Order: sequence, then structure tokens, then C-alpha cells
Amino acid sequence: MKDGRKELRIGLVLTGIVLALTILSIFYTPYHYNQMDKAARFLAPSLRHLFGTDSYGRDIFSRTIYGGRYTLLVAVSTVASCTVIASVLGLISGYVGGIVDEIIMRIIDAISSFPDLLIALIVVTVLNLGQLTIVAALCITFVPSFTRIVRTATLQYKSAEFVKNLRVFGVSDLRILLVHIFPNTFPLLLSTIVIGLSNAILAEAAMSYLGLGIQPPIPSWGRMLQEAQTIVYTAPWAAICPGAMIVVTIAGLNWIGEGLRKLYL
Amino acid sequence: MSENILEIKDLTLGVTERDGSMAVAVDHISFEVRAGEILGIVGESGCGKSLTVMSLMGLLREDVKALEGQILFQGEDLLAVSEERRREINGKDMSIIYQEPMTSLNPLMRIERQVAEPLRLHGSYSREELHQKALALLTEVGIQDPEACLRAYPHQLSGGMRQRVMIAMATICSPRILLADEPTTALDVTTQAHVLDLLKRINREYGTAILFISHDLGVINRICDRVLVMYAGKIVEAGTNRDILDAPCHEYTRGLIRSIPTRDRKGKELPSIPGRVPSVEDPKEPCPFAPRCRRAMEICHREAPACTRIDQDHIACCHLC
Amino acid sequence: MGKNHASTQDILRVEHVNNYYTKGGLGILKKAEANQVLHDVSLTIGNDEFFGLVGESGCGKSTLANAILGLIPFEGTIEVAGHAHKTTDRKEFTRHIQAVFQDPLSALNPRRTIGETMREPLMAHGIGSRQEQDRKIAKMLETVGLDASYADRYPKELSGGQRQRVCIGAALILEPDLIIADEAISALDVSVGSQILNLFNTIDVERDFSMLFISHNLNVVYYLCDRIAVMYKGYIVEQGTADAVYNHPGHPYTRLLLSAIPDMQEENDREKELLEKFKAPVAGACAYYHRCPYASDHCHKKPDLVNIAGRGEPEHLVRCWMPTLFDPAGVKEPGMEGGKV
Repeated sequence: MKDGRKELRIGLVLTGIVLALTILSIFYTPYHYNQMDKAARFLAPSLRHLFGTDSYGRDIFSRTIYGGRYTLLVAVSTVASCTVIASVLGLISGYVGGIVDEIIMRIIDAISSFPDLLIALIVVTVLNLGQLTIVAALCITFVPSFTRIVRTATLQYKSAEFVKNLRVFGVSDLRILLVHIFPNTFPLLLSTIVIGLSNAILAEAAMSYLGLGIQPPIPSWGRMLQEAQTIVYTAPWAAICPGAMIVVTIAGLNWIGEGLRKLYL
Repeated sequence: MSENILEIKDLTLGVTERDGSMAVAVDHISFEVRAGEILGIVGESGCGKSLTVMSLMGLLREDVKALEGQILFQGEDLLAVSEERRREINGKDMSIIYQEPMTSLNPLMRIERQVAEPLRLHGSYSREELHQKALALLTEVGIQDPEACLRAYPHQLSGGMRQRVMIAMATICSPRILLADEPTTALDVTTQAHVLDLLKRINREYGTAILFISHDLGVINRICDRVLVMYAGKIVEAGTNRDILDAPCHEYTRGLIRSIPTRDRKGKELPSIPGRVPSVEDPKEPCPFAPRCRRAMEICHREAPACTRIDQDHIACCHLC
Repeated sequence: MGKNHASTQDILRVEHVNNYYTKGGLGILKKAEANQVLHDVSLTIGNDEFFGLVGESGCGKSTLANAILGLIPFEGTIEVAGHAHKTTDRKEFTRHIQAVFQDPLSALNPRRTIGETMREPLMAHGIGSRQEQDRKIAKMLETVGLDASYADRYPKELSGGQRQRVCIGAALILEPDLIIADEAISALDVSVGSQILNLFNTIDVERDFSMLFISHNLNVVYYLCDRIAVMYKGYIVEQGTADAVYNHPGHPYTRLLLSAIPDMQEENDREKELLEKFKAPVAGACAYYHRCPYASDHCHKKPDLVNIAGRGEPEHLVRCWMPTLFDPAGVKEPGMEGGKV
């Protein structure tokens, strides 16, 4: 069926659960995320510790829902800044064309020809570690694909009959671009944003896993995975729980993206 | 001319709406295609003519369903046959050409492979035989340099050439009936004339019956023996060319003919039909044309008109006929 | 209708316009080749005149329209109401010239209401306050036969004919001197197309504007227009009053077009032969040489446009070496000399 409502619904439920837990953590966590307890190390999941405890005796459930806000914050701000930058570049590149298009697209090609992780490494090395740096690093690696999508949509609408009509009306190029072409790229951009969010969560996890992302003691999901790798045999739940959160979030976002794509494209 | 190749009885097609309900798009139409004739269906967009043809080929969109009726092809009900039998008939006994040949040709495949495809499916020939057959056929449909055309990709051909290739593909298995869905609408007038001549020649030389759909009464007059006029999913008038064009009885047919700009109408207002073609979702009237009909009477809004036989082949469904 | 084309001021003057289309060039193996799309096209449209341009697809008629609209570069002079392209800026230019295109659905932004789209030209030229604009839009919608309430609807809620009415209204709202209608009724149903033709005629009575009506359908052009030009492969091959071109065609191509139109009234014209004979093209020959049934060796040179009208009659230009061969009422004896005027 052409309808994407089913996918959209599943996606919204899954991401809704994650969001609800994250919001809950602002007001209440069963334990403080960094509260250590020597007596309670490596506890398996139970009613007292829903997701068990880690090597310091910290409650993994508390850490997981608390860490969600950092992971999600990084993902959202990455995608938001990337969308803004890519929209400007893509619109200009697609509408102006010619030499401007060549220059922008070649720079984009250059960025995307480096491995994402390498770029992130360079950025993190040049700038100091911190949340802003991660956002900047991820943003640079995401800009090429976003820009290409906005540019393609712009090109498509630039040659549309209604744009020709508007030019004949005497409407200025800036207005055509911002008021008439840009909103028409939203459906395509929207599903890209959703997929981008899930990619950003993965990328943040990967960077934190390498120790380049969120710094201790703050527990982002990627960070928790990294910390869990040494104890994965003694306390597998320490890795599985944040991992499951990542999987649920990404699956949810992907379903939303797929649903939107089917509904609007 | 007595045998009927195709008999359509009470065919009713429904389209699924967004809210899941069924709207009737083609409403109990019955007609027959006689052996060796060219039958035209004329009507404006949304009158159901394309849907009808697609249902004959078994190529309905997912959201369209045949609700009622029979399509008898040489006595066999095509709505009831198996998928397998359907594939046997399509391309071999019955084939179709469309308005835009570019979209029905694979852009990445040379013409040669595409033209010979139906033969490969419905018979066993050697490579050389296939090549010779394809070559002969392209010459037959009036392509100047058939060897070059066989080597070409679709985008390298002009619109007229592509339509000729489509006709070659559709007739390579010498079908009993050829369905043509506005095959000349996208072409220039001169190319259109050539393609019409070609179809007429195929009809005359091989006895292939043609069901020809068009919105252009001039084209219909040039090629058809009989015409059906469709409006809002119903056949409102049927007859020979001369019945329909010289002595139309249904007010819709009359309006359609009157609204065409011709030589002697210059400087005069065109007596166009007011209003617009109803869409499938619009509420059904007993006589679908009544809201736009300038001769509509009180009975027209109350009672569906019966179809009256005016002449041997001439039938009109109107209270005034 | 019945207007005199010899009016005092020309609304459109197209003089010696050439246009080239370059293809290839970016590839390594192919050299860029320039195809000439328009060959020395000249025409004028008088005040309040409807001028028809006919030809097959690819003959350059839409290219000419785009050149006149200033959407593509060209060589030569194009002046609309005394404003030349090269000296007037685009915005000022658009006050004098507007267009209606073939597909009314794609000519309207799907995400904006009819009213918003019709406001665009007014806003671009800073005409009126918001209330005045609203009033103008409502009035224009009524002029084109729609209800003022249509301003709040989206294009997809309208039928094809209604959308085309909106496009015509949007084109008229700036009160331009010239409207270019590029295949404006080709995509519409017969009954809707005739409504639009009637609309053009009604508006013509109420307002003062000229029109360049581009179509592949000679019947429609003859019905609507005062004068007609026929284009073939970028050349204007015939030009004159609608009556002269349609009823006394001088060029074999015009005759071919006329013979190819399927007619409803003729009793069984099915066996009618097309006036066409293909042969091998000759370099430098008349553009129509390879299709012309009358071509001789004489046609290996390119013909000029010559006036075949009688003295005191309106101009009737034909680009052919033997322009009067076919017309029994022609003024000159058929002959090879062609006779420049």
C-alpha cells in the first residue's frame, strides 16, 4: 500500500517511549546517575535495579535515561545546525548554478571524500573536547548529504513551470527562492532530517565509544557502551541496556522517516 | 463483420476512495467489438475510457476493481480467467499502445530486443529469425532505416518513430484486437496523420480489430467505423461515424461537436458546454449530463434515460431521443 | 475579432532574432555543437491584435516565446511596448508582458492558495494596499468566470479549466500590453478549451491587450487570431492575415499542416493523401526541401520571405521559391523567379 501511516505510528510510539523516559529523568531518576555503591557492584537486573548495576555499583537504568538527554541533545543540535547550513548552501547552489554551484559542490565533494570519523577526529583535535565540539564535528560530516538533497529539490523546482510563471510576474529571485521553492523542499528535507537524527545518535555513540564524545562522568549512551566493554562478560546488561535504547530510538526514527517518505513523496 | 471479437456486458468499475469507500467510475457499460472493425471511444478526461481499456487488458491499478459484468473475448470471460491464461492472451491475441511511447519503452534497452520480446515470449524462434522478423516489421510500419532503428535506444528516436516501434511491438504476434489509448495525442498533426494511416492499413491488411480511444472527434472520424461516446462512466451514444457526426442525438455529443473551432465558426462565439466534467466522487445524477444540459427537463433529474435505438447501429441514451 | 492590424503603435516588435542551442561540450569525446533554433525571426504585433504562431513541436515557437519573455538569451532586437529587452530591467519589463502556459497545474505553486499566487505580481510591483489587492483579485477572478471564494483554494482543488482561468487572471492582473499564450488550451478537454477561447474573446472586448497565441492547431489559431505566422525549423515560412494563410496558403508546409488536420465534417476523408514527399536532404537547401513535394533543383538555395499579396492588400509573406504555385487566386504566375518585393 502507498499509505505510510502504519510505519509512522510504530515510529512515533517507539520514539515516544524514549522521549518520555528522557523527560522523566529530568524530574526523577531512581538513583543519582553517579551514585556509586560498593556493595551493589555487577548486580543483575532486578526490581531494585531495573537494568542492573555496573562496576561501580551505579544504577544502569538511571544512567541510561539520564544519558538520553545528552545523546538526544547532541543529535538534535547537530541535525538542526546542519539543516540550516545545508539549506543555505543547497538553495544557492541549485538556484544560482554555474560557477557558484561548481565551487560549493566541489567543496562538498572534498568533505565527503574523507572518512567521517577522520574529519571528526581532526575537528576534535583542533578544538577542545566538549559538547559543542561534537556537534560541530558531526555537523561537518552531515552537511554534504543534506546539501545534495536540498540542491536536487531546488533544481527540480527551479525548472518547474510555476517558477517560470513567477519570473514572468516580475517576482524577485530571492522571494522565489525563499517563499516558493524552499517550502516545496520540506517533504524531502523532513524525511532526511529524521534519518539524519538516527545517524547522529549512532555517530555520537561511536565517537563517545572512542572517547572523543561526551566526557565522564556524564553518561551518554555511547559513553556507557564504552565503559561497559571491559565488563561485558561479567555484566552484559551494562552494554545491552544503553544499546537497546539506541536501537529503539533509531528504529523509531527510521520508521517515522519511512512513513513520512511514503506519505509525502 | 458478424462475429464479435470482444463483448463487454454490464462492465462496472469502482475506484477506491481515500476513505476506503468505492466510487463507481465506469457504470454498467455494454458494447461489442466486431471482427475487423475499428471502434472508437470518444470522451473527455475522466469519462472512464482509459479505465475501460485497461480493464480489457487486465491492467487495472491496485485501487480499481471490476465490480460487475463480463468481458467476453471470443467467448471466454477475461474477468474470470487465470493469471497464466491472461498472460497468454496479452501480447498475443490482444495488445495495446499508449499515448506516450517513451514511457512504455525501456530506455536502457536497444529497440531490437524490445520489439522481438513478444515473439520470444509467445513462440520459439532463433536469433536470426527474430532479427529478420523485427526488421520486416519495422519496414512494415514505415520506418525508413530499420537496421539503424533496431540498434537505437528509445531516446534517440522521434515521437512518431517511437509510436511506430510501439505499433510494431503490438502487432508482431498478429493479434486479433489492438487497443489504442490516445496513441496520437502527443504527436504533431502530420505525424498523427501518418500513424493513423498506418493503423488503418494494419486493420485492412490483417483484419486486426482496433479499439481506438481519443478525445478528438476529427481523429475518430478519420479512422473509425463506429463510435461510442462516453460521459461520466456511461456510454451516452453509439453509432457509425456518420450517425454521430452528422446526426447526433444526445445533447452531450451535440455540444462536443459544436464546441470545436472550425473554419466556419471564426468570429462567432463557440457554443461551449457550460460547467465541467463531473469527477468520480461527485454525487450521481440519474442522467449524468443533466446538470450541464441546456435541454434538460424535469424528468432528467428524476429518472435515468433509457437507451433508444434510432437507426441500425445508432443508439442514444437520452429522454429526448 | 475583425480588428484592423494596421494600428498606430506596435506592441511587440521582434527583429532579426537568432537563437542558438549548444549541446554537448561537457563530455570529453563530444565537441560542443551549436544548433540554431531561431533563424532571423521578425514579426510585429499591433495594438489589440491577436497574433497566432503555428508549427510542429521543436520548430522553435516556444523558444521564441521564452526569448520574448526574456527567459533565455538571444541575438537581435525584441521590443515590447517600446521597451527593449537589453535596456529595460526584468521587473519593469514584466509590467508590459505576461504569459499563460500549457499545463495550468504545474504553473501554480501547489503550496500556495490561488489568492496568494495572484497577489505575487501585485506585490512584486508594489501595487495597492492589501485590501486593494484583495479587491483586485476578487474582481479578476470574476472576470475570468470564477467566484471570488476561489482565492482561498489550493490548485489541486480545482479542475484543469478552472486552473487555466486562474493563470489567465494572474496574467491579466497587471494589465499588461501583451499576453503570450503558449499552447494554453492544448492540455484541456475540448469543451473546456472552447470555454477558454470564448473567455479570451470576451476579455478582449472588455480590455485592451494584444496576444501572441502559440499552438500546433491551425484550426484554433485561425478561429482566434487576426494574423498568423507559420514556423518550420526555426524559420517563419509564412505570415499574413488569418484569412490569407488559412484559406490561401502560399507555402507547401502550410498546405501540409492544413491537409493533416483531421476534419469531422468532410464525408470520409480517410483516403486523403498527405502533401508530403520525403527525400534526401541537401546542404544549404531550403529548410523544407526534404519534405516538399514540389521541390526542384532551384530549391537548393535558401529562399527569402516574399510578399505575395496583391496591391493594397495586407502583407502576405511566404518563404518559398514558388509561393503562388498552389493558389489559383494568386497574383503572380507560377514560376521559378520567385519575385522579390
